[in-house]
Amino acid sequence: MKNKPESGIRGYGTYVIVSLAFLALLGSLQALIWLYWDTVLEPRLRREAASQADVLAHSQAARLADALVVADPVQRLQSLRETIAEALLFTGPQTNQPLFLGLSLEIDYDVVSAPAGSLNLVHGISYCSDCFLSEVALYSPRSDELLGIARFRVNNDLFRNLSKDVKKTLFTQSHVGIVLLLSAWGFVLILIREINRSRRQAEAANRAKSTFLANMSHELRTPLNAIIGFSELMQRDPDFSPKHRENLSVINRSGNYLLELINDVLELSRIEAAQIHLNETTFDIYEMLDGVVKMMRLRVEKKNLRFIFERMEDIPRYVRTDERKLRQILLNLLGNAIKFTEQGCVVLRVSREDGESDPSSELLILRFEVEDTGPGIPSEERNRIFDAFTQARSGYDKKEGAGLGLTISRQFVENLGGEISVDSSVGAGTVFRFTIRAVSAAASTVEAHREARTVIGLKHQTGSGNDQPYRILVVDDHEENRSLLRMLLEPVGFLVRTAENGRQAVDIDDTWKPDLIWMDMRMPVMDGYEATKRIRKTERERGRNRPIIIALTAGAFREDRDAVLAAGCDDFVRRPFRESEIWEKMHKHLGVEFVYGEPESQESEQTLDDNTITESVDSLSADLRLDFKNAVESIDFEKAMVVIGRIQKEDERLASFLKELVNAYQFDVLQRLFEMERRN
Amino acid sequence: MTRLKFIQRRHPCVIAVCAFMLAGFAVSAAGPSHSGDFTDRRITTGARIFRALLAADVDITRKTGRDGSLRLCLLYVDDTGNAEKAAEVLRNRDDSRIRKMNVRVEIIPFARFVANGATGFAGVFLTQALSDEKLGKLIAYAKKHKIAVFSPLEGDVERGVLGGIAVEARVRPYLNMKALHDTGVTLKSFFVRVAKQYEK
Repeated sequence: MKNKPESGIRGYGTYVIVSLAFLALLGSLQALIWLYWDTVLEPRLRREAASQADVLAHSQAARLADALVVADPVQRLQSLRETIAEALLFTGPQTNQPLFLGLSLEIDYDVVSAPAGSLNLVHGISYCSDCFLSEVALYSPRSDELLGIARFRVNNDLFRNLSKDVKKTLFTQSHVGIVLLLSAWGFVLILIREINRSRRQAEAANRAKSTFLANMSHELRTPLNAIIGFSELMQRDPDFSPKHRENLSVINRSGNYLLELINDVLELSRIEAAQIHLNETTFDIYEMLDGVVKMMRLRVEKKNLRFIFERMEDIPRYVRTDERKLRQILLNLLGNAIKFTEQGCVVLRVSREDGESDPSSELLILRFEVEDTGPGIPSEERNRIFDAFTQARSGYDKKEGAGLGLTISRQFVENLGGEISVDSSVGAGTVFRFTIRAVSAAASTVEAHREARTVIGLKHQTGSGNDQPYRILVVDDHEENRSLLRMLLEPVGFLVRTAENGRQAVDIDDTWKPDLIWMDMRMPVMDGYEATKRIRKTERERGRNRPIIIALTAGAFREDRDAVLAAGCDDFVRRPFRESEIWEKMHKHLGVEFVYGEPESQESEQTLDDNTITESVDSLSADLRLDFKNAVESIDFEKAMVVIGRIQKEDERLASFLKELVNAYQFDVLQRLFEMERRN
Repeated sequence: MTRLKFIQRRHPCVIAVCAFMLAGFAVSAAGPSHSGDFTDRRITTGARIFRALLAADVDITRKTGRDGSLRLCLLYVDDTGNAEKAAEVLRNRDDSRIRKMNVRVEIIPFARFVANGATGFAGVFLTQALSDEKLGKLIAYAKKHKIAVFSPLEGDVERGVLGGIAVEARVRPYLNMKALHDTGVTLKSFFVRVAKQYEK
């Protein structure tokens, strides 16, 4: 899996966004300060200065009034002029500028006996745009009569100084705020850097884990491919004796069991890595449910429980959803129900939740219920049972399972667009309910399940539009894998050549021009990705026929599939493959039709009913029962098979049935079947 | 001082708390005398402005009594204290005359003033707060007899009294322009210009 470097936008995006937010905050703060100054502080300061100007002017009014009431006209005029001159001399303590820039008098000559206009004195400036005008009434100190009005033009420095001081304070405080904001900005950027570093470390660890899983997957699946493939191939060889074929069957089943185990572990890894994807197919849900019921019925009846299966009639037969996930959910829930129920029954109900809506609608909500009469789950444990590695008390007591089944089930239910819930009462039982979303489908869209029949030849032997047999190139660095495919394909009628690596494959493709290439993607010298690209390039440049390239990979993740398709492959088969997958892909891409041999007898699957099994076991000799019970309890596969060989002499059908169970590792079922104490 | 005032305005909450505490301390230490001082100052200052207002009355010369003097009525309700203080200001000036006319100050309780239908006053000076009903009667009386009623008490001008005082950075005459119009008293433009005007 390639590690993508962190893109520039993603790397710096957060910094840019945070920085822009802080810049916006800074801008807003500055704008607010200016707005506050303009609309609130400055007008208030101006009013304050005007008030101060009034006080100053008023302080001079009494002296002017005193001068006005001097009886002698000459002295009065003299006194007035002196008072005014003195007032105009006053300077501000801070600015050293005159407080009053001008002073004019308007006298009521009805009160003051003087020629009209003679005392209307004007000193200093008579107009200024930015100074304060303060009008003061002059009352007679003797009679309180209004003598006139004095107009003072007060220096604007009063306001300027005041505003300067306040502005200085305001902006000092705002700068402190800005410095604090900048500090916070820096702090947040450092914090983001640390978070990013931690995230990168976590991502690197996750990538390492993914790489490890991919490698593990490859390392485990590659030899499994040989084990399963060769055992399948050898089973078809008529030269082997029935005993050897039986042994090969054991090898094959063991390989498949191991493969399932690996798949389960990988499933958990995918859940943790949030890499679960839907693989929707159209299938017969009746058939699927019947299969599940069939699988479970035996286990249920071995515990003397009743199994009830209710499927509502309005469930469409063919639906499109992820069949494998749905089956796994049902198997998990039913398995739990059977495991924890000692008496009573287990019920599986399937209904359509959207029944009241348009029944012809293709969209469905299917509802499933798995009910048991087991010990129930205490309320305090109910909330935790879907957590990974968590089991209810009864689960611990049973010492079975790792506590992952319900976690996987919940994840799958959510993947299928539904919800899962549990309702339980202690001592009465438990009901698990879940829904899934599905699409109703027509029967014609169901992918036919090809019977597991043996391919023995081709209906038409030639390919590439001529009389030559189809040419198949197998590219794999493992000799056993190359041999497996060669041995599979050549007897059927294909012309097969092999290559150990991508470079050889490119050369052979250039000269031999195969119809289809089975391409391993991980190889030394040149891997499958590069080889595929070169073959596609050559094909374009020379305009030659396009070979089908099908990737063979042991990769566990969906991304592997996307990567091989992007490289130019036409299809993808995950290793270890089943023989039928190889035939299906060749049929799909080459259009070949196969000739099949007769299917093998399925005798053992259809011979015994449950009562017969019980009777047959009871009829066995005590020695055989004891030996088989010991083998089963110690989970000794070989010993069990030896005892089955002895049983075969007494009851061939029972032996065949037991062999099936042993091959399927159903040791728990076998254990209950041979529980001597209960029988006695 | 200027800066201190400004800081006080910028922090009204702090100042309000401080003022509240100081006021509480002042009240507990000095009792009711502080508010009494404030009213005293309004009375004495108001008396001087009342004289200025009468002097600015264009028709004041036609409002003399039979003896040629101006009769000024100082109204009280139940306490003559404020009236006495105002009378002292009105009488004890270097020149207690108004527009060269002698002044006769009479202290009269409101009940008697209304009961006797007192007439012939050039102006009425209110020294105690009146209820809305009593003030209404007084204003109706002033309107009927075209005389100026003056109250130095806060809020009376807004209640309909013709003249009062506006205390800000300085003390100014305060005129209810509607009352001025209703009573038909004509004041010199000088006086109106320097006064604060209540227009509602």
